[in-house]
This record gives sequence, structure tokens and C-alpha cells, in this order.
Amino acid sequence: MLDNVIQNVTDIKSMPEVLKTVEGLKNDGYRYVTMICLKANEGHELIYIFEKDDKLKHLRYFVKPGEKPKSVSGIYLCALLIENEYQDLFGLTFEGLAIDYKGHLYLTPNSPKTPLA
Amino acid sequence: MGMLNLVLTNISRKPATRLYPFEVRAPFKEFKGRIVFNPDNCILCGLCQKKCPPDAITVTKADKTWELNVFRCIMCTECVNGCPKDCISISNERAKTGAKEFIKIVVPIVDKPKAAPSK
Amino acid sequence: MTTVIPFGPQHPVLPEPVSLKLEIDNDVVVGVLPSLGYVHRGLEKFIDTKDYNQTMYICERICGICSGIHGITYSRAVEKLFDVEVPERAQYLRVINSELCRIHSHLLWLGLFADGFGFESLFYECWKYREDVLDLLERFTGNRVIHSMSKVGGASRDLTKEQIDQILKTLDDLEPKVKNIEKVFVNNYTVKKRLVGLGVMSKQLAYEAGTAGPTLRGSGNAIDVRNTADWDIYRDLGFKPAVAKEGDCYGRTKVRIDEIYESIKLVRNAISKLPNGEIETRVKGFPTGEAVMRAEQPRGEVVYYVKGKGTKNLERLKVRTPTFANIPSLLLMLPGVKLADVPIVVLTIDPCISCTER
Repeated sequence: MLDNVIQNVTDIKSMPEVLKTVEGLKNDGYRYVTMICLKANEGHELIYIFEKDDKLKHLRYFVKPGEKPKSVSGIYLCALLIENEYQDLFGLTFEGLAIDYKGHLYLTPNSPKTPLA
Repeated sequence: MGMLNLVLTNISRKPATRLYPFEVRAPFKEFKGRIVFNPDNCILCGLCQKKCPPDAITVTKADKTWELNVFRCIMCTECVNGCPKDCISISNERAKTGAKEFIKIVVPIVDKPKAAPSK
Repeated sequence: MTTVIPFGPQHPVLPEPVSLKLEIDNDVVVGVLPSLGYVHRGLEKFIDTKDYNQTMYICERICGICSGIHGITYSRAVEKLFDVEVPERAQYLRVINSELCRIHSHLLWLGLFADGFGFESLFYECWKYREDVLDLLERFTGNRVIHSMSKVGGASRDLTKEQIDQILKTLDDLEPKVKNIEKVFVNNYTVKKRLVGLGVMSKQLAYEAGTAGPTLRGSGNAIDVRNTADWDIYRDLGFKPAVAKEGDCYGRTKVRIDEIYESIKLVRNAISKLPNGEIETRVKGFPTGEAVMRAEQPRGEVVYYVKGKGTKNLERLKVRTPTFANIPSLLLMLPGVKLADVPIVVLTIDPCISCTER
């Protein structure tokens, strides 16, 4: 039973909608805090966290297995590090990254692949 | 003028550092120096082994030994607070470098029947 | 024609293994590519093997300098999962520990920074004063840097009357000393020549780049998690964020010096208001649900995300450390800076790469 869920969460179904919402948030003056990736139901769950006036706002998006999520680093440049991290650690592929380390931000070619997933 | 003042105070002042090997500062009373184990009351319950975050403590019931890997120990004092018989305490004495890696202590169990119920 | 010059991972100025590939055009940086991965330890995966009480010690070891606040924030995140109220005395002890941490971290940074622009004697002075604070922390928590003071449900060490007197006495001694080094950092002609107008980030840019901590406040944004986060104590203690309008290296230095005074004030206020009573509540059961917890570290805002699955291990722990948020700002600050000034600009975000990679 998950009775202790984080507040102010918006569930989003499709990737273009995520990009649209994020862009809207940027125009509203939100600050990008971070993104959290979880393993869930074979796929991955992404929780985007934004902040404005010390209030957090969360967006939740479910990545189906094999789906390639779009990067938000075109909107918020600072998203590129965390997205590259999840490419390394969870084996996701983000499309349209500002700087793409191709899964070698932390890992070297002979290190174990996707250690957190 | 300020410069001259500074020069004079610096000439007359003691150095801020200590001549280490000859002059050692006494450790503070609260300092977590090393783990001290007193085997007299130990009942080999293994709670310290279970609580230890870096898995430094090994309790072997068969051999009646309590073993601490000093190199792994992080001085978190979980075992000190968790021991039901208060066998483990912390000393403020600094652990010397070049210590032995393992401290192995044989536990003489006196009041066995109370502590370990029959199987 | 541009040349690519590697900066780090081993650099005389930076003690941390950050590697930057600098694209240089005639002594001026035009492009930056940070590359990480030298100290990635996989601590977020490591929690699978430890229970939620032991995870506190892992979190403390994410970083050596701000370790106390990592442990405290983790404890508060897990307490949110359990929905337990921590005794007030324990919360005040946590505030005292975090503020002492902040003083020692900022003095360390000021020293390193002075060393970075070649002011050796200032570096010695800063570290000499930092030693007094470290002695305080050693008396208070039993260790110099990895404090292990907090635990899930409260604090593991209490302050005695004697220790409180010691803390107040040392802080009284420390304040004029900090005033002395502030004079050099703020007024000295050579230092100002080196810092003013270097690595400028405007207020809007710093906000949009998602920076945190002194990097954000040095550009004029009065955003400090201590101010409004779900921890009421700081408001009771009369906390005011330190802000500088300049947005350059000089501004960020001023913010950090002001924060030392602010922290000294907070510790004094916390000690004067320190309530009596218990320092720990017992936490029973296993965590479920998810929680996000933020706190202000010396380097900026840290975000903890914890998710429990009803067993003794947590399902997921995610730490967004302040340097992780500040590294992308280097991409914006460094272009246009001369190669000789790159170490100074990199130092002003107070990089902690062990934090970043975990």
C-alpha cells in the first residue's frame, strides 16, 4: 500500500505531451530540479521534478519497454547530465540530447552494462 | 604601521602547529577512537553482527568467538548502542596505525541456559 | 583555429577529479565538454544490500565534507516515509550540526580558492580557523568529518552543558577571525582584480540553468531551501539567505563569507533556544511509499528521493547533489574566459565530484 506518495504529481501519458508540459512550465518560470528513474512493470518510470517559489511540482511518465523517450535538454540545458546518467545506469536512450555521451558518462567500454536496472 | 604591527605579532607568536611526534594533543573525551569488547557478559546473540553496517563484526557461535575487522570498522557505534548486555564500549584512545587487521576474542559463556533457550 | 586542451582530471588546483575538454581559441575558451566517471562508486545500487538504518552511513559517505547534512537529509526523508515526528531537541541538534558543517566547508572552500589564485598565506589562515571548527565537531559528534550524528528517528549524540559552552566560546573567537579574512577577500586590490567580472551569469540565466546554492544566490536569486523548505526551525531562528547581485566569482565569494556569519548566528540562536527532552523516537516497521526531501548543503540544494517497498531495504534511493546541478552552468560560464582563469571559475561552483557521481 502506497499511502505516502509524493504530492503535486501529474501523470502524463505520451511523450509529446511531456515536452509540451515542460515547455509550458519553463514559460511559467519553473526551475528544473532533477529527474528520477525507477524500474516499474518491465519498463521505467520517469519523475520530473520542477520547482517554483519553493514548491515542488512532479510529472510522472511511464516509459514502455523499448520506447525511446525524448530529451528535455533542448528546453532545459541542465537536464543533459541526468539524462546521460540514466542512459548509463538504466540503459535508456534519450532522443535529441544536447550532449550525448552514448552511455559513457560514468561507465567505460568494459564495465558492466546498466548496473542499476 | 599595520604592517609593522603584523610583523611584530608574528615574531612573538607561537607557531600554530604542533611538533607532532614529540607533542601529541590528548584526545577529546568524546572522540570515537576504537571499539573495546568486554567478553565477560557476552551471550553471543549476534545482534552486533546484524547491526554492523560494514559487516566488520563476525560472531561465531560454534567456536565462541567474537571477531572485529578493524580495517572495515567505520566507528559508527551501532554495535555499542545495540548490545543488549553492554559488552561493547568505545574508547577515546586513538587507534595506532599498523594495528592488526583482526581482533579475535574468545567468549567465555557463564550463564548459558538463560541466554540461549533450548532448541 | 581552435585547439582542444584537456583540463584535469589531475590538476594542481583542483583536488577533485573533474575533467574538462576546453576548446581554446587564442587563449580564450570557446567550448567546454565536461567528462565525469572517475569516482563513480554505485552507492545508489549498494543500498540493496543494507537495511534502511544502515543506509544512513552509506549516504554520509557520498561526500566527505558535507557528510553530516547528507545523513540528516536521508534520515528526514525516511522519517517522512514513516510519518514520525522527531523530538524537537533532536531537530535543533541537527541544525547545529549542519551549520557547523557549513562553516567548516566554507572555510575549506575559501582556503582552496585562495590557493587557486595563488594566495598561499590566506589559504593557511583559512584552514587554521577551520581546524577550530573541526575540533568542535570532534567534541560534539566524536569524529572530524564523517559525523554519524543523525539517525532515522532522531540524533545519536546529545550536547552537554560543557560542550555548549565550548561551542559558544569557539564561535566568539571565530567571528573576528573571519572578519579578518573577509577584509582580504572583499577589499584586497589584487584579489578583486582577479575575481570581479569573471565568469558572469545573469540572474535569469542562473535560474534557468538550474544551478543551486551559492552559484544561484551569487547571481541575485534569493533561493535557499533553508528559508522555506518543510523544516520550520530555520524560520524560527530568523534565517535570512545571503545574496550578492554581482553574478561573478566575486559575488559567489561574498555569498559564502556572508553565509559563515549567518551560520554562526544560527548556531547561537539554536543553542539559546535548545529545548530539553528526548533526542530520539523509536521507528518501527518497514518503510513504504515514496518521499522527496530537500535540504541546503554548503554547496547548494540536495534532493533525496526514497522509495520503500515494505521490506527492510529501500527500493530506490536517488540523490541529486548540488554539484550535479552546478556542472551544466560551467557550460555557460566558461566560454569567453581566459585559460588562466578557468580554475578559478571552476572552483567558484565548489565542485564536489564524489558527490556528483556517487
